[in-house]
Amino acid sequence: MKFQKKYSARSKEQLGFLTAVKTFFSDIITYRALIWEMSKMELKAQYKNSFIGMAWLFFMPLINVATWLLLTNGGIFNPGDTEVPFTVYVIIGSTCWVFFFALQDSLAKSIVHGSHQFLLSEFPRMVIMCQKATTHLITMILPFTLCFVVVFLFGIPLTPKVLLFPLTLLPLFILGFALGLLLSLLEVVAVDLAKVFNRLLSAMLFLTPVAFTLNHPKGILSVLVKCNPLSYLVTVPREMLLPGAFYLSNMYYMGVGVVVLFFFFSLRTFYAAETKIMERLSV
Amino acid sequence: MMGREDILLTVHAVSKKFSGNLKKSMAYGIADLMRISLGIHSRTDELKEKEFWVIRKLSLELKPGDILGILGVNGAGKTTLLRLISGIYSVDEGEIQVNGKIVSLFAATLGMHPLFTGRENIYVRAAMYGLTRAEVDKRIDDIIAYAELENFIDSPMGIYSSGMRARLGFAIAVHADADIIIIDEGLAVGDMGFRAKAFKTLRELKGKTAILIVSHSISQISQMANRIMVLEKGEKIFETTQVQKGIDYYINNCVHSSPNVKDNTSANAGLVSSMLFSETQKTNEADEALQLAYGDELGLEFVFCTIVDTHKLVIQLELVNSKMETVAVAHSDTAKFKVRQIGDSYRIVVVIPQLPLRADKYKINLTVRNCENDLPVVIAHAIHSFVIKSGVHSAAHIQLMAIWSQQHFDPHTTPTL
Repeated sequence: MKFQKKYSARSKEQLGFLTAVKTFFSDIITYRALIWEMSKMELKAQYKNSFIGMAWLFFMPLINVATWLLLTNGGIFNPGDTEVPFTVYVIIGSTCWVFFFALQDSLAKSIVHGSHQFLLSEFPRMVIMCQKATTHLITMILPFTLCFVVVFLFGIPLTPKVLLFPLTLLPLFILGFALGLLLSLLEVVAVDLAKVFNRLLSAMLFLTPVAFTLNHPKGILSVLVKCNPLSYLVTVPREMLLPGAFYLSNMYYMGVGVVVLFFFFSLRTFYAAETKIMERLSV
Repeated sequence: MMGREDILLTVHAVSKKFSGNLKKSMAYGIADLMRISLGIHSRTDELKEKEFWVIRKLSLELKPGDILGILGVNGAGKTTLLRLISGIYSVDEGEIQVNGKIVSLFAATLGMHPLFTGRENIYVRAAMYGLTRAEVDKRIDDIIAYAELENFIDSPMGIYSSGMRARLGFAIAVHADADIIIIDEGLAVGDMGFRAKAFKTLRELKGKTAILIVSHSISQISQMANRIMVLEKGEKIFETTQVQKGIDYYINNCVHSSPNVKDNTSANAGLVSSMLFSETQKTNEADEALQLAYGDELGLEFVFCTIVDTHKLVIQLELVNSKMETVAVAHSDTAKFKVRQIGDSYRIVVVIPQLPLRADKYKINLTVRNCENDLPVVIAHAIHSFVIKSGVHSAAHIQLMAIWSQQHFDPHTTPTL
């Protein structure tokens, strides 16, 4: 039966990794209509009472691009040698970073910001997480489109490897999603710890080659940047939009492997612990 | 005949605990998160520091057609039980098995957005109940008509009154093909007319659906339920299929003994307003006691409403003294007073010409019953109070108002006993 459920003290805690993954996809399929309706509603609601409405989706990334243009043309940054204009380099890099960071941030805050809905909803809470991710994906279409526009305006030729661009973004998306799931639970019961993680993740921007090249940092910073899996997860998608041969290093593969394992862990932990954690909202 | 396979809900020896301390609760939350993420099991059937049981070893079963009314004073565990059944809270002990779709009416407007039209919100809320867009398309006209919102459905929900929102939420819920409907703390859906329609719909659904209704409101429970369960401090203390017996048990064992009875305003559901008056004073407040003298006149004017369609209502006033003893009653039947139905609301005035009571403080309890099934329509406790200041302080509650006289005694003419 579609709506057959069984709860006991152990049922959720004994959930295995594979069952968690199966439940995840089953939830997406069962509640795809709800995910879509809620995503549409959230997107429209953000701009419904604004005069220029959803045009904000276009203006915000445009302002971002203009800011980077201004800063790089003013010679503020010394990014190291880039084969393409630094403006293009940094705009693509920062868009990839935002793609990851904004997703985890949106998921992490979703429970405490929507506690009433989370507490009283009859449908699986994972559905709300998937809806947040869907909204984020839709929101990111324009910034990525702008990346292509910037590449085109700077006269940089696109190569066939551009077809791999969405695929190489996938590990960043999965990492953002997995981190968001875990941090959302921490936000409920361990506010201090969640704040520390949030600051650390923000600081990771400076250890990730968004506004500098992978080989530019020296000394201890160089080690930290090279040990940071995000360095490879951001660099590789950017390389797909820029000319030149690309090389998927072992570090990238390792990074992807770690992301997939972390996703399984995060998914299982969320399903197993969400009810126990969420009920603390009502105390 | 129904077998095990027809059981929609089984709650078996379920317990639930909470921590009464926020910091401890968060600390236990962190420990739970660490433990669960590492796959370490711990005992959940024991209380940790500052924890207490909200539900203890509770079992129940629901089959199609069951309308189980759960009664209990504040803190009895009613809402927690419903949230456990809905899967909102985790079970600490025991097991819950659900064989159908649950639709909860305690959050019927959840997820609806004020900036969006009623129509847009129908699609979102219905999707939360697991309906696809195509399924909603088929029944959206019925939902709008049921909610009586044809003229407003394309306006933003922000302009809806709370009653209109509740009506829309209820209309979506009853069109969601529920197997189990959960109603928490009454059915506050719009005006009396719509409420009557809501009750009628729920009664009609009962053939294939099971309904769980939780309320302090005895009148609502009595009008809907066909089974009663009484909870006290998280434990089931009484269960019966005889509704009247269950309500009597609750009133005698829980309402009267509860220290919260005065705050238990939901127990007064159905009573719209009341005023106590004497020749010189009047009050609308339950806490404001009228100061009377022995033999004074006392009047009570009250308005109540009910969706029960009957002419056979009887009203009883109980006067209860400071020791919670019922010392006198006034019954509409004794006075051969017939209650006439004019719409859904009734305004009644009753006057007691003389109060032959000893000096004490008294409270007034009001009961309205439907004679056809003897079920209460209104049960309102301590709606007003008054004090008899002067009079004889004897042990007897009633100081009879006899007519006394004295005549000349002549032993020659008057016969002796």
